[in-house]
Amino acid sequence: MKNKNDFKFQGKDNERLGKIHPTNREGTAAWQNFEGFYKVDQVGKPSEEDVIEAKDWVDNGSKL
Amino acid sequence: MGKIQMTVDGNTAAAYAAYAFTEVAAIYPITPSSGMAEITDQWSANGRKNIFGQSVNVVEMQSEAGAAGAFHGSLQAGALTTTFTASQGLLLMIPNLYKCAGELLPGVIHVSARAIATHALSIFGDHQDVMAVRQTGCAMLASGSVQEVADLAPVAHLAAIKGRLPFIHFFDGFRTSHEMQKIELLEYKDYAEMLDMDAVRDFKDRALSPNNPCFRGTAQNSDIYFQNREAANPFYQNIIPIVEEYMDKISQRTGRSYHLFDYYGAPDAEYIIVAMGSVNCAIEQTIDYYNAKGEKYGLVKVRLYRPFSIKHFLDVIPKSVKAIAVLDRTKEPGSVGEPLYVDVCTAFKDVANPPVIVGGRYGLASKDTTPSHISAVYENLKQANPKNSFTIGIIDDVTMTSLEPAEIINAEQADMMACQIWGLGSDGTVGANHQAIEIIGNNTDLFVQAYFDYDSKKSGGLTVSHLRFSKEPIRSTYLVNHADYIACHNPSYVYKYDMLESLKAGGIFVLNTTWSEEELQNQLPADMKRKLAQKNARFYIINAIKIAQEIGLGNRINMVMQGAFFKLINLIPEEVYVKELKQAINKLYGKKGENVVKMNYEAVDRGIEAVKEIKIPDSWKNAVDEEEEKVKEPEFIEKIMRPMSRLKGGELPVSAFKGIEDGTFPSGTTAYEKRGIAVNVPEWILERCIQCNQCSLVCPHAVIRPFLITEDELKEAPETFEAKKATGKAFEGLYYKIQISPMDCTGCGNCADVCPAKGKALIMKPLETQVEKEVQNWKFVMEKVKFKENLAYGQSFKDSQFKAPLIEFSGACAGCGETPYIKLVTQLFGERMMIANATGCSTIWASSAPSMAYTINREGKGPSWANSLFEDNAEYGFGMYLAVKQIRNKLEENMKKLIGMNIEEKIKEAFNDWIHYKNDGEASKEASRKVLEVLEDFTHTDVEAVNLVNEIKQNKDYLVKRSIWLIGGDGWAYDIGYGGLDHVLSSGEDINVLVFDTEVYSNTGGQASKATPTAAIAKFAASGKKQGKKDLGRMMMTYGNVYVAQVGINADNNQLIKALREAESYNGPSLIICYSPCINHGIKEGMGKSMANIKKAVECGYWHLFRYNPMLKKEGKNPFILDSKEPTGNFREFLMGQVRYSSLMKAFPDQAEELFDQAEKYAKEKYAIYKQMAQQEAIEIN
Repeated sequence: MKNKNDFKFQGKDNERLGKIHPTNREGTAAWQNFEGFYKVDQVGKPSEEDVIEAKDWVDNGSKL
Repeated sequence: MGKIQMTVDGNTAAAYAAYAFTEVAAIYPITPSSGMAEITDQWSANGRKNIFGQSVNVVEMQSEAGAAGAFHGSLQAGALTTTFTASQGLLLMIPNLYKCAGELLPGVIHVSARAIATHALSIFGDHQDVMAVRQTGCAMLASGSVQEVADLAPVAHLAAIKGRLPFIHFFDGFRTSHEMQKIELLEYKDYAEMLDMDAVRDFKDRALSPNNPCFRGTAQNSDIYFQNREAANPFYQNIIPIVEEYMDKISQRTGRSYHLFDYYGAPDAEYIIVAMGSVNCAIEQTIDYYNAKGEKYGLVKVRLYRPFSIKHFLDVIPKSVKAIAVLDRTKEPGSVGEPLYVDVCTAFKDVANPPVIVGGRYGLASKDTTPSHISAVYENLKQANPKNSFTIGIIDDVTMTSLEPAEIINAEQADMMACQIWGLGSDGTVGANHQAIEIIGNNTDLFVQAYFDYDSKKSGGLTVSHLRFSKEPIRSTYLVNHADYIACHNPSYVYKYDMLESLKAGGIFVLNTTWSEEELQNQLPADMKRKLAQKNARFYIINAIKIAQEIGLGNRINMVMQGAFFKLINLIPEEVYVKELKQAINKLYGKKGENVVKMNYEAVDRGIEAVKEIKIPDSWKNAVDEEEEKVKEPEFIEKIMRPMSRLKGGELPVSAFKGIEDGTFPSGTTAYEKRGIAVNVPEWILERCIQCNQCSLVCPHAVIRPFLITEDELKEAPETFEAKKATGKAFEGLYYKIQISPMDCTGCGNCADVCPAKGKALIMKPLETQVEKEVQNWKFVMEKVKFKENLAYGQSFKDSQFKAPLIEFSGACAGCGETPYIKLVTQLFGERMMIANATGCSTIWASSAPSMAYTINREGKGPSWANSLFEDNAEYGFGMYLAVKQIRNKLEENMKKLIGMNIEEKIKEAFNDWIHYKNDGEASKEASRKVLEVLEDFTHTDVEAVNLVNEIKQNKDYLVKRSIWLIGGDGWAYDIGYGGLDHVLSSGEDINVLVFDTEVYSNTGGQASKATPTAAIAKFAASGKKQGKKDLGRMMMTYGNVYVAQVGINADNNQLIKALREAESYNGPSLIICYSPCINHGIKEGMGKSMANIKKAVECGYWHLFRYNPMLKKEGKNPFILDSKEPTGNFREFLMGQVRYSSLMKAFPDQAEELFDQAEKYAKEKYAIYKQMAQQEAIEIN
């Protein structure tokens, strides 16, 4: 096996550490389709339809 | 005779045929076969009848072994029985396959053939599983395309019944099981006409019956076992003409010709390939391409693999053949060759002047095999000494087995239109492409193909849809690699994936983007600009996100992009596709109201109108990336992880895995991803924060953490870094900061939701407003802020959060209810932890290569992690425990021997200390440190003493007591792994079990488990689960010496941390069951309130908190403590807040009320029992 000590990472020496461009933004995911936001903390609230769509994806869409 | 045209996948085609002939289906879900059982169950629930006029009885068992047992029993009792499985599931059925074959039972097993877990698990397709059962005595029939599945699946059933042998009908997992094609199916009356009813009658007459009692499955000795076994030989001879007969009948009815072996290619071929499965389609394409240029290539397609008829095989081989390559989609290390190769060699054993025969491997775990790869096989055959035991599709620079394609060819038909559409899981792209395929298939004479390539993440994750359209049948059984149209629905992908690699010259690229034409110049990566220019692409942009928002659809871009797609591919006239799309919209969204339908109509119209062509400037041909400071990353990250993340892992040679041939991957690689998933992330409001650390505790992804900072450290912080004075005597003089990593955050919002501060100390804000400063702030805390070792941290959950979590940035869904628990466990015990993880969501979010979420602390210590299988996780972890115990016992033995020798007192003292604290996790750390200190310069004249000390030093890794955790979901703990779990917990040994109870099989798509409560809708409980939820905790308490706790994070964090500490320190078996909300539950408040949902579950009495601590018995106390208070919340309201319950009202209103009442009754009953247990006096036995 490779030397165990060369094989432990803590996220240092990491070219993505300072990056600000998303590479896998989930802005179009069903669970992030908010019809509103909870007062004060602005946590997103999806519509029931979006909850059903998000559920449908994990149950049927991703077909894993 | 009727034919039905349908656009379906292989699983559906198999299930369609199977349904007709099946009375009972005993199943267990496993990717990629689950779809067959699910659709069978759905049809049954909707009242579809088999050819006997009855709906199929579908029963989900606890494991595939259980399904095989039920399959066997059902056949013996006279019902025509079917099952569906793959991979390890098929292997678990092996003993029963032998039984069914030995007892000549006509069951059929449909297998979507899948890789076996070896050095790693893979859900993808190859023939390892079916090859592992070829010796069982089952007949084996191979299909190579969706149409073949539809045609040959009935042959399996018909021949099984007439021939009295079980059949394994298999086709390639994913490539065929999940590929959609427009195909023809026969009507059920055709199947009925072909069925030998006399054979059915005979089967039923032979069934076990008290009216004609007999014995089956006796015990036989060496006097008769052999002869009785050989007596079945005629059945294997007779099955061959029976299969031929049914293939003929199918051929007559369908017009498609099938034989045991089918030949394709030059009648005077010199070089042929023998193969099974979907690769045959790609080989046919290759043959057509090269034979048109004068080559003489051919192919033998194997259909009936067992029994293997040498006569029929040799009959189809042209006499002109000089050399044969046999392609096996499996690997049999240590053998002289893979199975099909060995069969073909044997077939030629008695042939005079046989051709040269070589064998090779291809396509393991759905590795793409293209005509270019096939061309290399034919070229190899032409060599004077063709390579044997070769591989294709990979670069083997270690044992040099690989054949390189001589040229890259496009063997697809000229009129083929091929499309690649890059989307995101649940953004509607995949659904829209299903729709597109149907619309085009139904409105044109074109053949259509759709194949969907996903990564493993459940709720997000990349999806690439590969669509093809052609006037001729589509035989391209590989990913689109010459695309006429590529679309990117997720703008952030431009920074990561080389999406244009497959674009043909002059092809179309459509980008969904918020950038204007002017902004493209600065924003589009240089590599993309170069490719667009060099390929002379037709480049279009559309701001589908803005259009969707304007219309009122929020982030639903799918219909906008559909409009653009149909316009640009120009396959059907606009008026036709608009009409079809609008009809599809009516069907999909009609129930949601006229307004929703109108909005989607508008989306289509605007998609057509708004897609805009961009003139590509000449300057893009030489576009150059901005200079950036290159960071030298660790070799593994640079050479393996980054290419894999960019989807270039397929180009890695075999040598890339030198040193990790056993499948080892390093810890902590998820920190290198920084995916930027979130739309909104939390902003910390310093002045409101009360430093409770609850936000950190509940965060599923470990992206929000408290830090204690010294004055000196603060001096080095970025300007934007704010901190406040830390509260608490132990932290005097320090500053406190809640720091978030915005590029790792998923944006679920649970942290903000649970924040108890007045006015909230965390507010969700758009990522763009936070990212610049907080990325630098995160970088600062990671690089410059040290963990303060020597503070007097308390035992509270609050103080636990100052320790770095040793699981971070996993692939779990936003708001996942599983990860916060294990994160806390790693904060408490992580540097001593070993984890055995059952297959399920928790293995997928932790270890989908290359993303390994468990990590190390500053000392380089952290959880070791391993997954064996699904069913054996308890035993696997127990094995780890046994190994560690044995080695530590030896350490103790050595120390005791040394204590009895003439050595320094300080060494004896250190040994005695270690022995005393051997089983105390925390204390053993210091005791172990002391041992190593005193032994550092050890010398002695006694050689035995020196040897004993050297042994201790060699095994120093084992000095600190390890914290061994068996973790997994309810599918493992309650069902398939229950037997092993029960056995391990009964052992009395010091082992810890953590169960993430999502109350359903989350990872495989929501099948019911024994943890699913009454009234919940799940697969195989489509009308609401009737049975109650298994009380695993109470069952395990009956052992009397198992520590058992049921916990709920955010419901009672003090109880949670107490339970974890008590469990881990208890010197015996411990079981902790954690309530884990899941996207499958359909929490109407959103996954941003998944933690709040746990609290509600406890408050209304749906979930109960308790601890059963055997240590209390020693103190003369009742070991059972009920931690839940009397329920005050509204039980029904809690249920109605989740789609998995509320949808029962719509689907089955008659049954819903009764089931909801029953569910509440069960919950109340449970609580009453717990209350009674808690109130009991301690039992004293004298």
